[in-house]
Amino acid sequence: MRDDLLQPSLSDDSLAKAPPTIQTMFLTSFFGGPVAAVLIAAVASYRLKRFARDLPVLLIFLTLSLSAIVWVNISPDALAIRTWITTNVGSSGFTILYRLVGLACLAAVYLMHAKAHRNSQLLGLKPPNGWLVGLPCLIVGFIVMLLTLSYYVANAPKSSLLDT
Amino acid sequence: MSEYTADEFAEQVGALLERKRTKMARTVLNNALKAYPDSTQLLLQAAYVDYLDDNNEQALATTKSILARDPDHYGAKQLMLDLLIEANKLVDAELLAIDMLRDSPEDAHLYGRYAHVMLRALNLDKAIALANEGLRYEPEDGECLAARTMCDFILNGNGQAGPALQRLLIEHPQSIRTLYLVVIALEQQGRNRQAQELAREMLRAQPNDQALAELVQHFETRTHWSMLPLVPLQKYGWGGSFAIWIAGIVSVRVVRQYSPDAALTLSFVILAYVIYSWVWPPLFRKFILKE
Repeated sequence: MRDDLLQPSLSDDSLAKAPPTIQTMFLTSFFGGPVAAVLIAAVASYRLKRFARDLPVLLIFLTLSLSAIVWVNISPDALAIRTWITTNVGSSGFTILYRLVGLACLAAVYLMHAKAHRNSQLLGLKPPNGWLVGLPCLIVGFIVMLLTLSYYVANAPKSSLLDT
Repeated sequence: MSEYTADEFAEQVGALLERKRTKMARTVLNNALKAYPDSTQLLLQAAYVDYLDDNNEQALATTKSILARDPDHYGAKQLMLDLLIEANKLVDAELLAIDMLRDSPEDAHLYGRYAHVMLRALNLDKAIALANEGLRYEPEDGECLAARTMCDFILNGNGQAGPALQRLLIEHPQSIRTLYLVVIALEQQGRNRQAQELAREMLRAQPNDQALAELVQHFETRTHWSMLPLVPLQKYGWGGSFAIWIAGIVSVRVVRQYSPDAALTLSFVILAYVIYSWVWPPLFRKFILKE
């Protein structure tokens, strides 16, 4: 008999709960961008009782995704990408890029929590209300996008995505 | 004086419960408990019938009354464990499982139930360790094999079950739980037609099972001809949705350069597709449920 297995591991405070559904996380990230993606991932981490463990990774994701957006927008090295986006996507290139980076961020976050998502789906565990957790993250993400957008409108370098 | 002894009543009820005839079992139990109101065996069966009929509060009350009289009653403790899991009282369920395992440290079934508690608590590593430990004592135990199969589904995510499901099929081929797990495996592999056929067979065998009826409806929704346009979303999930969004945005922008009218039409088609994918499946399910 393995005695370590017969030690209580659950308490009311440490009990993990089902993360938000993939649908909630997808829509939040798509409409709110990377900031919303990281926020909704933080909610999932908190519910899974692994927030402290995930926090550094989430901050790295946030930094990387925002850096990628800035890089595509202003770096001379990304001129070819900007030209392609401007040609094929047009004036809404920035918001679409912001959303796509949000989804890419979500995909990275999903890999962290994939087992927990599959586990709660298989067991039919009740996720939190999608509107209650998704909407605040989406609003914050959207505000950050607007602030970034207005900053670029004021300071956009020549040939940035907002220069069109 | 009753014409049957308490044991004979219990035997009748047991035979009915084996065939899930809970209504008839309840009728027999009502008569039996009038004659033997203190019979622990009959009370436990009454609690079990309530549990099967989703009357968990009554089942819990009866089980507590049995344990108040006989705190070490194994059957009552087992039912209490199931009731606590069902009520999502996982902390209490874990303590009870540990308490029972300390009394019976080689009871594979208990390890399997405990693994199930851990799966509900999203503690996959401990669930795997518990299922493996139970299988060490009894390699063909259905509870441990089922828990281990679920762990495999979670680990792999593509319906590729490990040896546990194979062993479950060999050792417990008639068990409804085994068939459920096969249905899950087929669905995860994208084999919805086969999963639907199996679910239908299960429903034919147990026509009163509401969960099975819902499972069949779930597959009828997924495999209906009107869901054909949604096959990419069914097959690739949110990855497919992501790809459709990107393809939609890019194609509309590219087409706009050549023909703004065509781009507008394409935008409406994509929008209609997205709305269709969100609205039609739940509507269809409701329509079928009504039927």
